[in-house]
Amino acid sequence: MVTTRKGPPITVDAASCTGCLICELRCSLRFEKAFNPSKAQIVIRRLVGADNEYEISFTDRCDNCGICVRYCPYGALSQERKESA
Amino acid sequence: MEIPGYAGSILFVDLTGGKIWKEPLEPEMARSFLGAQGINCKLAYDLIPPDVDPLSPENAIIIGAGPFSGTIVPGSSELSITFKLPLSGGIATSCGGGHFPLMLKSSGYDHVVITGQASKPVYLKIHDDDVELCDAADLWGMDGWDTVDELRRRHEPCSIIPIGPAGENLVRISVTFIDKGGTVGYGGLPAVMGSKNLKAMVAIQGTKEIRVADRLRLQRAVDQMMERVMSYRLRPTLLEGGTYAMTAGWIGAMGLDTESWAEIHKKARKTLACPSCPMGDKERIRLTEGEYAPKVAYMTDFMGEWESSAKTALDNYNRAVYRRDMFNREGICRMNYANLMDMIVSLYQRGIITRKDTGGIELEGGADYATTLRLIHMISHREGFGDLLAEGGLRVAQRIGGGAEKHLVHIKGCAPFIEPRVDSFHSMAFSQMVHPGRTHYAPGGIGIYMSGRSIDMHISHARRIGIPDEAIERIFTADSYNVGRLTKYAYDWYSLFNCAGMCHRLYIHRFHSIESFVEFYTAITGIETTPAEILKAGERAWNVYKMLNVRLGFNRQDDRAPQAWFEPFKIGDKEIPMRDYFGHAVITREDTERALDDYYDECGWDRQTGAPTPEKLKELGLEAL
Repeated sequence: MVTTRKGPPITVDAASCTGCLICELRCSLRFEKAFNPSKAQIVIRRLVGADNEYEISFTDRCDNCGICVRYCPYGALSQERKESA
Repeated sequence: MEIPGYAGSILFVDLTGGKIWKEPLEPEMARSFLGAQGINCKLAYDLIPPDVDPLSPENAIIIGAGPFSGTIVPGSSELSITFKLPLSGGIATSCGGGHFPLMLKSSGYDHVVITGQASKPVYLKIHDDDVELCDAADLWGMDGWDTVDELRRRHEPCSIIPIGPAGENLVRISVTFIDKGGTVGYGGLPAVMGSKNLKAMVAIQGTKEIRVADRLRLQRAVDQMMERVMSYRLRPTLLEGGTYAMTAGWIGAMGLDTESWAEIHKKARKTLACPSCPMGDKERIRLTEGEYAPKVAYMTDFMGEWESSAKTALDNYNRAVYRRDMFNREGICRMNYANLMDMIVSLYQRGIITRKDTGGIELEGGADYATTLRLIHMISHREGFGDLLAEGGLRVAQRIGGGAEKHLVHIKGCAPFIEPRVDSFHSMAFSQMVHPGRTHYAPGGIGIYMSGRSIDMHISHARRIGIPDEAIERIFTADSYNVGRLTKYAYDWYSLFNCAGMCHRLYIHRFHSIESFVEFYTAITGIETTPAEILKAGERAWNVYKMLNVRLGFNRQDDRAPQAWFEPFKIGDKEIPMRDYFGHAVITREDTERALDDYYDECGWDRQTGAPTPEKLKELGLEAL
């Protein structure tokens, strides 16, 4: 499924990801009104064999709302501010 | 009707018959005992026979996640595991942080009860309704980290609790980790797993949603707390240097070059965090140069390095990392190892044991670095002298005889962590005496009662954790406080955290209060409550925990201070006696006995036996125990 992305692009610094999954939890709460990382539109994947290095991606349902950016406490996600209308 | 915040089911696994089933988590159980440690202890009371051998199939491993786990409450990823300890013979709960609670609840379970003994090595795989005992023949013999790596290859995204050789070989001073991070299983959980032929427990991310009663209310409460967390002045220090940065003073006290250590450490480490935690303190170390490089290691903290290394080389960062990694991989508890070796070296220096007993190992000057590595391996594989040491301090002392036990500083057969002669006889030191079934040192938050805080700071903390005004009057004077009475409330607060699935490290715990706890609890479960009511639930859970061990025969005698605390601690030429928190006076046996009297009195427990009175049990609705 493809949706129109509302917000500016999200920039990822995967090296700063600690695996806290706060982004996935917040995202799943927004989309599903409940917590489950697998229901999030941001995907944090621990790379097998890479000793806790992570890959960060987004599903097609992600609309760049920026909730993951807002709540990432480790600076792994950033997003340019939306321009005012 | 299910309560929001709970997954709603308890998973039962009988390893002997291979039978697996689930039962609903009764709402009344959740209301009375909250979750995690609280429900674990109630299940343990019903399911672990008092006279069971810890290493027999009848012992149970009871795993619990709390109602806060799996949500965004900061620091809500603490797992509780309750079992009868091979080291102490008590039934106790060990808590550790990691992804396991979130993964478990995403598959629909709050608790897991594992009993029996598999006929061959297996690992438990939990994924929604697909719960399976998988063949672990190819994993048997692997160390803990390699086991995690292999199971991640098979099952990511998942969380894993493995055992290494120490568990397989039933070492009583074993311990393990969740996801190469949070320590769990003090007192020999790996040995219990090993006795059951259970190589690992794997919780795979499931598809069940964790629902809360009022998500907007929860978000508001979390957002308010996160504002404080993100502006905490020491947060950058923690994130840059991990627990080492928070405890560097301890290492510096050994006269080592902490500045260069700090620089090396900052470059070598990567912060890892448990789910929901903005104060991640787990870490991966990558050695890129020097001895053992290239190497990746996992450190849960550097706090223990000084006591496990007092007689070994700590002046070399790479060696300290390597040694700690080896403890972890093999699955040996460094605290109980250090405690045991203090006794062994003392016995060796007095000629009570000789090189003949140690199999030729020289210990006159203590165990040096190479000897330590050798002993870790010998213990985890039960080779030679290591076979004896694997039994843990008290059993070793009893086998050696000749008054060896006098040289062991222990509480209930376990190693105390806090040395009150070096610090003081504060609430954390005292709590080590009265923790049910084992020793423990962190009531109400690790570090909160350490030296250097004023009475006003203590009172402020007391109000934060909900100690009633009339109790504050009893506990505090103008220039001191009553250790026993304060510890009662510290443990109620600690109990509450463990029941909810909350981390109790100081730098998480410091942001919480009884009011915020109530707010989170109500937002998640929909159950309106008050600080007094919720603290009563924590107290109820703690009394069940206590009764588990009263039933085993533990009493006031087991809560007494070790004799060594009344003899001066020697550092070089210095002799340091145990003093009260503010250094006013030397603490005597009479003082520690009075502290016990006060603690039991404040708890509503019998001073003679140390057991909850019938009146207290009735007040808590526990008259059936």
